[in-house]
Amino acid sequence: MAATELRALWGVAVKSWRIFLSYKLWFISDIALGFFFVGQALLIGIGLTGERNSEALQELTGYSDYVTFAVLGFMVLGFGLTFLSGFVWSVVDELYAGTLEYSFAAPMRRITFFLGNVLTRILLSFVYMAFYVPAFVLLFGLSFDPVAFSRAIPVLLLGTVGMIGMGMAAAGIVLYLRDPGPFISILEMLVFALSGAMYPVSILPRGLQYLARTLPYAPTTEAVRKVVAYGYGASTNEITYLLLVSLAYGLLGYLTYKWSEKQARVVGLKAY
Amino acid sequence: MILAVVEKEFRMFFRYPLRVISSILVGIVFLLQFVYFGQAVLGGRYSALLEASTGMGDYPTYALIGYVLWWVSVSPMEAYVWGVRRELQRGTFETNVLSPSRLTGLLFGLALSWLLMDSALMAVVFALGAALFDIPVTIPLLLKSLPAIIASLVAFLGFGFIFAGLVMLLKNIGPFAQIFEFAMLFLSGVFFPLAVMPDWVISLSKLFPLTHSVNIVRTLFAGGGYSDVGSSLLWLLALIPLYWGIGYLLFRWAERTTRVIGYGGY
Repeated sequence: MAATELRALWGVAVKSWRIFLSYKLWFISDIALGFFFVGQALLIGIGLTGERNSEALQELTGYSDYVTFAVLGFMVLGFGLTFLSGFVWSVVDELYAGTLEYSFAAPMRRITFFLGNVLTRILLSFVYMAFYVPAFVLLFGLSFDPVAFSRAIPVLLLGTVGMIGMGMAAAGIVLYLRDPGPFISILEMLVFALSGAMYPVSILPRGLQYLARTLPYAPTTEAVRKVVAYGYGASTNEITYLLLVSLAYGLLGYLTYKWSEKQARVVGLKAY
Repeated sequence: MILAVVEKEFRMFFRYPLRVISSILVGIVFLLQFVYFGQAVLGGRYSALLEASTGMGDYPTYALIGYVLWWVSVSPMEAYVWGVRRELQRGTFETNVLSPSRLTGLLFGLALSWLLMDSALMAVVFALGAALFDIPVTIPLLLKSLPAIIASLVAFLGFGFIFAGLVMLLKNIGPFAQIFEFAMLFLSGVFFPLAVMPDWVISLSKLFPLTHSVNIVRTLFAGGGYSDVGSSLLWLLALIPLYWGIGYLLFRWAERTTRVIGYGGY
């Protein structure tokens, strides 16, 4: 049984990978997106201050190097969106193509279908990071300390639990929307705005700060940044909070997903 | 006939109100990223360096004007790339081509409708941005900017027309268009002053209508007049016939070629 599921998982991942690679220019476009964000960050910083470091940002976040600040945020966001996109776009793409019911009728568990799509995106995310880090060091003078960065991996994995949970919850909702595209765009934009990727959450209006801290993205970004800069000892509060948020979202995602599976058996899926 | 295409596109877009809300939200969030980043780095909103190089020191105003015009400038390009692709995917493009109307009219209608829809969306984003960042906007200031904005829209339509021919020949130029759209942000000084770029980029930037549009509107918002931006105005007016001409010739060539090799099929 487990071997059959693994084969199905592999099959879904390979299919998803092949679809992505069928338009190779998308790969270049995705890579360019990273350069676009980090390049903008560098040029905005230089254009506004004339300096490579910012005292104002140092006071707010502990980071004076705004490029390193933006790169860390961009990477956490890119990795985090992998789960949300993997869960929801896999449903939407198949809905639009009219193949979702066939995929769900295939002899595999539904979660296998989602995880197969997520797996491809995780792989892509790692490929992008492997490309970005040396490129950013060379082009933008990113100060990269492998020891400090590797400290962030367990924190990132902790945040992953919450991000997977949010992806599962979103996938459960998407199944019942007639036109899920705008819902996903709104959700992704909320995550984007409230992730703290490009700016510290503390700069937002107070209401949005609270909202940002109730999603798993900003707490992950903040904890990752703090661990990279100051180590675990100084980041206990951020890690504890992240643990709570991640567990809550993990549980919420699991329950929402189970509920939606049960509902799907009764009311069916939205057809296109 | 052009109006019929515009009406069809408007009906399709506004049929799903959530899609309109989503588009506005996408617009505002993208803007916030860079404005908040700039403010976090600056520790405020005013940059003396920005004022010295562009004449406008208030970063939210600088970014808001650049961003809104950038979004509208890439709209015709998007219409040709995604609008035509959508029809190709649905299998309705060839049917439209066979209808008793000129293809140039159909495509122009498509670009015009997207430009108008994006202009309306960006007007909302501009109003939200102005309210959020406390940017003083007056009716006389908007009226003063209107001739420059209209000239810019005409230039953007011509610039985007270049992509109309390309999309008929090539199967999927979406990623290429996306890269080009992002490049425009760098080449036209949307979020940062062009003074930080190398000289050759500054020279190259003059070829894009957006560079001149943002310069003119920012100068007007900073209290200047049209006499202060004579050079940009001349460039913008000169680029209008240039891009319309290039776009039209490229399109005619693509049309002749596709009669032989067919459209990029799906």
